[in-house]
Amino acid sequence: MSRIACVVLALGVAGCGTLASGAGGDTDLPRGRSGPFRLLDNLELPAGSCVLRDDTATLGDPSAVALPDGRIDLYATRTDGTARSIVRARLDGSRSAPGAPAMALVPTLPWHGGGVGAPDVVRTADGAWMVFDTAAGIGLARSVDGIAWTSLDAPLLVADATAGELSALRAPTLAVRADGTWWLAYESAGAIWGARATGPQGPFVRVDGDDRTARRDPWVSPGDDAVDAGVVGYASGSVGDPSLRVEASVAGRELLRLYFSARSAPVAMDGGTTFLRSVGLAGSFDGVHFTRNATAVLPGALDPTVSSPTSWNDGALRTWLFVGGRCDLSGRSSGVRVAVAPANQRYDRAP
Amino acid sequence: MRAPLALLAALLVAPAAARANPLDMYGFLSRSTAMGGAVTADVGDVSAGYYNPAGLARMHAFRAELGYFWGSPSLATDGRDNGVDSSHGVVGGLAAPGRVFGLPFAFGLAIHVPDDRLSQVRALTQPQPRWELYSVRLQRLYIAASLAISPWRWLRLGAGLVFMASTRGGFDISGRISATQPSNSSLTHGVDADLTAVRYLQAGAQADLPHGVSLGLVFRDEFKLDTQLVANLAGQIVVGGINDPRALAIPGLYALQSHVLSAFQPRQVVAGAVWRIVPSVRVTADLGWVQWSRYENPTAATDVSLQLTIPAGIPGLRQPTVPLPATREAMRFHDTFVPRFGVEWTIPARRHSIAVRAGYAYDPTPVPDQAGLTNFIDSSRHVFSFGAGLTLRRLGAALPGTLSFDVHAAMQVLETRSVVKADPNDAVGSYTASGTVLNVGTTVAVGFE
Repeated sequence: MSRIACVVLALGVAGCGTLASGAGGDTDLPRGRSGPFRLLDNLELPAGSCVLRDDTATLGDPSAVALPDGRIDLYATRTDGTARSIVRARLDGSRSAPGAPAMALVPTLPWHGGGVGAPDVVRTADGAWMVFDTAAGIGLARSVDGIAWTSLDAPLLVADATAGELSALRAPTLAVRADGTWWLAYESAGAIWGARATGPQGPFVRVDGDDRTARRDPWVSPGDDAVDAGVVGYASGSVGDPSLRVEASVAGRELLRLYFSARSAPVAMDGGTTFLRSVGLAGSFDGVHFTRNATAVLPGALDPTVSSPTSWNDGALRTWLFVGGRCDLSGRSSGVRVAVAPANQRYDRAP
Repeated sequence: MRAPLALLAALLVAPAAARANPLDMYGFLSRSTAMGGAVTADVGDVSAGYYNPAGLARMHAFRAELGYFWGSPSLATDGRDNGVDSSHGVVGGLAAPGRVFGLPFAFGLAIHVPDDRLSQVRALTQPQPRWELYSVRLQRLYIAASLAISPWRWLRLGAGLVFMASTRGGFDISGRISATQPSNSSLTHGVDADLTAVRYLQAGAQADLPHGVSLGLVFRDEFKLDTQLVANLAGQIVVGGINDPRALAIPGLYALQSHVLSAFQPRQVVAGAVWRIVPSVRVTADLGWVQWSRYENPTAATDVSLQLTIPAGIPGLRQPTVPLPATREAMRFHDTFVPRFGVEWTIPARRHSIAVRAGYAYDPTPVPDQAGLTNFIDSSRHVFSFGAGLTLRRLGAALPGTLSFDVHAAMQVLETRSVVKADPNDAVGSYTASGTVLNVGTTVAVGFE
């Protein structure tokens, strides 16, 4: 009996004094890296709520381009009165404070009209390409270094009412797929449309977003997909400002992500004059049929002016989203803000 | 016989200190683990308490075993290690044979005591990726008490109970909450927790055939370990000073009921055979059926209700809507068949002996493709195991029986699996899963004569 008692005692003692470590299994789990996003505030950024601002003008419509050295070139529309031009700033990281933005492209050609804006830049092995909008249509500019840009002599694409484009084409975005095809998305008549070509200079062939109908359909159109009665859908009014990115999973599957500005239908509670702004996301595996997220990935609750998203993955399972927004609560100063997903981590103020 | 009976009685009246079962994943004690777990027909040591309680009746003298094992997963998604917890702890038990009505009889106790945490419960949202068959599921205390009898020399029968604990708990909060001055809120709370025992049956048989062949069969029943939480918050939301009688007070009741399946062990039937080719060499094989198809979604089922009594005459103030409980996806796990093989070569060295062992098992994943909302990560496992043992006999008057030292190392190699999502906007997205799990351990056994 004493032997048994010794064994039982040893087992019991061994089981005592257990000190648990933290629960594991949560490290670097897969994420779609597609939100929901959280806007960084002035306690996490070195110079207020915006990462890019200009005290003499309004900045918006950002386009982020990852550089080989890990830094970011951030292009934006500079609006000074009625003059629109495109500026560039180089960021050491998503939260760093760049210097004053430098001019990248100004209207120089007759078809540029009153200005150029809403840039989107793609870097390739032989240089960089920028699409932008003008009153006349979508333009294309080329650069070897991303700093000095030369615009093509004619618009790349102009509105075609017979193709459903009932208003001027604006806010173009460009992406290259693994098969070498170039894909262009743009906004017209409150919806987002697509086109593709074999090279950046076109010619771009318009894509039908739904081949089940006789007419040409947009990639993403507004719709009321409210899930809770009494609240309008975040994209029930219009969608625009697309930003197209091509991503590939580790398994090699290609995915097209399309971030966009969303505007709700007027909210009835204040007489129908106010709408909600937010950032939405649509995705596609084939580049033709896009599915819009049921909820906004960046609600406009904290900043009702958020618009024109552009994304940047930092390789650490995080996605940064640069958006146009207000730099102070009054809204007198507008610049480029940054949001991050996953949203559950706060950051120390960057140096 | 008095000692085993006393132990059995003590175990049955003990508080519900036992939980669930990590042994399915890592094996139990070094000899059986080194043979790939293919010991249903062959087991004849303390590990019979887990593998086949009938094997206890093989023993003719009291035997105690004590060991330690360490299971260290390196499980990764998209090539990034997810930091899944290791499992480690003390393993052991005892077997006490005797005779009842003239028939050989044995009592066995098998125990696994994790030395990190005795039990762990986590409630995760449905889309949250998790290595479902590792981590939390393996953080368990395990105790099995078994009895075996040999009605004929060639037949052994055994049965046992494995002890688990089910948790129910709740808390109540009442008082006044100040909407304008939260720090001045006045609340009282009470917590009520209850541990209730869950037991499940395991039973087995071993039969000896001619030519050194034995067959074995074992059944382990299913168990589910539920965690229930009931929370009630009753009080008043006060707009204004908490003690101001003129402040607006809105009486309210918030009730939450949550139910989580915190552990599940599938029903299992294992058939095995051993062939002692020559006295020094034996080969074993098992085929197990695992009823994973009854696995339930472990996501918390939550029911929430809110009742606010808003005073009349306050326009625009409405009771907020309570979120509807999320629809829980069907798990659609499927049953699996698990083949296991083992071999042991015993080398006599005068009155002592040395044994070398190896094993292999293929454990197909029960987890279906995760193209939808859920992300239960798993992949089929190839398990390669090795081990060695040294048995010393008749070491003197103090230890006239045997003293054995066994070691094992087992490596689980998970096949790389791609999870491809159907929705391009899936919050988690497509990914790959892969990994290895190293399991090492040692056992010291003392056999008395």
